Amino acid sequence: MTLEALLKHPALWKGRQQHDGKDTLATGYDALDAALPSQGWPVGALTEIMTTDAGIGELSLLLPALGALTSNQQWIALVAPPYVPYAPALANAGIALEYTLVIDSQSEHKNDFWAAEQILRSGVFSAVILWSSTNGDERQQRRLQLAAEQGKSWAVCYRPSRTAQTSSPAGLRMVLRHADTQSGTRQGQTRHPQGDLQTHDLQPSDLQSGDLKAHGLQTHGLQIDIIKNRGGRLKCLNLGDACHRKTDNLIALNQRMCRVDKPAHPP
Amino acid sequence: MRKLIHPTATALKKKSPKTDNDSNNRDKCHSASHKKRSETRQQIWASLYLPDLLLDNMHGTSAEPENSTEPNSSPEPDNNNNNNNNNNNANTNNKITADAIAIVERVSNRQQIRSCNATAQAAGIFTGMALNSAYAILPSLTAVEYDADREALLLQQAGEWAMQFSSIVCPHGSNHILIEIGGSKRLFDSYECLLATIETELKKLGYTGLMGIAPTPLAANLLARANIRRGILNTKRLATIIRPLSISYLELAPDILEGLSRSGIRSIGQLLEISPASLTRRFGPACCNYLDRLMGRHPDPRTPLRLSDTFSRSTTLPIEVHDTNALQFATQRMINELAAFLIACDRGVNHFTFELVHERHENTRLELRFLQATSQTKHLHRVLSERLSQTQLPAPISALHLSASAFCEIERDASDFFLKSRSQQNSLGEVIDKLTSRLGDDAIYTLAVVDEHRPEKAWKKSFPEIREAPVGNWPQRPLWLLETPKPANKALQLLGDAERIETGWWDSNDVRRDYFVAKDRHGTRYWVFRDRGKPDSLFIHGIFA
Repeated sequence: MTLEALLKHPALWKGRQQHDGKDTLATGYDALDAALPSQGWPVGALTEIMTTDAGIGELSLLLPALGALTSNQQWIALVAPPYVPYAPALANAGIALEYTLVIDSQSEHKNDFWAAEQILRSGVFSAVILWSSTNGDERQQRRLQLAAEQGKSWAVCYRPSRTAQTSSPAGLRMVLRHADTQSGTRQGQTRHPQGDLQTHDLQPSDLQSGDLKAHGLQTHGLQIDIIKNRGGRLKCLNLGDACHRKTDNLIALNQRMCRVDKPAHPP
Repeated sequence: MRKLIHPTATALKKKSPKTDNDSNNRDKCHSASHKKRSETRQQIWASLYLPDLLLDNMHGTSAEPENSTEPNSSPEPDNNNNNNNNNNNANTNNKITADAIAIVERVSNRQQIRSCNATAQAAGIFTGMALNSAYAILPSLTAVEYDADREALLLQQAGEWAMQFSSIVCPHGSNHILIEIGGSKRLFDSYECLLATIETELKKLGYTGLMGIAPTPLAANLLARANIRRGILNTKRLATIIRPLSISYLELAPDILEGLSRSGIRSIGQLLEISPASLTRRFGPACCNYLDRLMGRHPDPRTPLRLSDTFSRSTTLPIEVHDTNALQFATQRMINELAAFLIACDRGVNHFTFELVHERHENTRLELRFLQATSQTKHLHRVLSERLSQTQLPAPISALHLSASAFCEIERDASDFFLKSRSQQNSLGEVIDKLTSRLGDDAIYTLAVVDEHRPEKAWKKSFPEIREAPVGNWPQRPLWLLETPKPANKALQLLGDAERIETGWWDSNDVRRDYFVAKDRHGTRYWVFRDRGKPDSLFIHGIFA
């Protein structure tokens, strides 16, 4: 048996396996794509996004991928959003609203998880985004992860940032914060028992802020700490002392708010 | 026209038909016109004999969990009982605790048992027993007055149910349903498969019945009553099979039967040997006429049942039910009948009404909606039971009523099997129905934009499957909108210029606001406005998430 044939064997797991790109979704941000093992959002897995404050661009981060899905006539679901998902803003971001289902039970939290799980399992929806107001235990997260695997869809769960210290079966976990916030004070949160940390020092967007102004775009600093990255490459080692510099385990991403600023609405 | 959507039918259909007599219809395959074929082939009748229709209809619906008299009983025993309920059509042993029910009729001023269920029989009650004696044996016996009209209605409904197997179905007498199965043979691959399907489906309804197959309707009835399961396909063999049978199976007037037996005629064979002339002289023309039709010597035309335009079923529960879990069996039967009706008329339903009738309270009415028209038993039942489990009962239930009046074509995807979007569409409906049945109609929606300057009116909830026209490009807008703006009570730094929105004077929701993007010290960006009437106060209306 040649090495090539052996490598194609399905039972063989390659440690530095590159995803073949089929089950990933481009994030729309080159820097983030490069940092993720699958070159994009992992499909068939749970992505956990932990934030301290709302309003730092945590939803905008997903919009390019969601826009690409819906314009491809794939369904997405927003489960238990904390506020009204504002249709004009979503439309501006290129999301086809007719493929966006909102599930807002306004009742027990239990139903939100149930709904998210059902939707994921059905395999009809390409992306399911759940806002979890409670901590949510590991068992629930595991169910979501399994449902995402079964339905081969991209599951995203927003959780409070205090849950970053607990363990989770999610395939990808990240903590978001505004770039202005001091990272040193939060060092403890980025440390994860599995130590599977990305240390990518990414360049800000290649668009200069002057250009952005000219295009009517705005920049908005968002800092992403990837605290778990299953199947991720361990390329970070080429930074040498990365393992000792926990404070550097950050991805600073100059995130673009891709909103076209049209002339003010006529009165 | 025979119907193709029956699950078993499609399974059987996959085996290719071995013979293809009718090359004209080969292209149309199974949907070949029934009329065309019936000219060339012999009719084969299956008779379904349902002797205990009234009793069977009540049976199972009384399978209330023992502990349901306490409304706050723990859920686990309920579930156990549920499982029993699901199985009890196959295994009556589970229903030993069920109530004894008897149908009572008045025969010459004396109330006597017409039929009774297994529990009552086990207690020693038999047909013909006086009601008083029965009460003496079993004081807890539930006696129900025989209702011929109701029996006829049930027979008619069972006939509608049977129309999923054939387009020619005729109720006969008070207990028979005649199904012309000669035209359905190819669809169901063979008579054996068809009979097995009919029997399983009948079991699902909870009815007990006997079946006979013969070339003439009356002979089929005879075989069913005599419980001869072997199908007879030609009239020559019919004579040899029925000769030894007792004349009591014949559908002749009681006085004729009595006269015959007094003359020493016990078996059908003996009767057939008597010359028609002498029979007519003694018993009138009816007897000979009957025998001619029985043996296929005279034609026996039948008027097929026609499906009504609306579907409606009622089930009266013999005992008041306090717990929706106990309704499993009754609802399953009603849904099965609905699905059979839909298959028979080749339609789907996307809305039906289920009513829980309470004795001392206004009825609970459940409106069930489906995103896409469906005729699938499983899906219909899942949505109904999910909704029932969410329903709070204001009072015990005494009866159930299901009605559906609007039917529509089911979208079928025979041609574009490989197109993913279509198969997605189908299950999308199922997922959304499932969610709706638990979370309510309001909880699930898609979004749409409205061409309107006031931010709070620039969006609306829409329904899946409704395509709204997209409305232009918008100025910068936040992803989250607060339903009611709240006063900003923290230090905010205003960024950029104001966007003035001043509109809405015509519907007394006048808005005169200056909108800004603002940032707090954590970096959160808000969409705030200053009311032009009150320039001091700042309100947060959205969050740039």
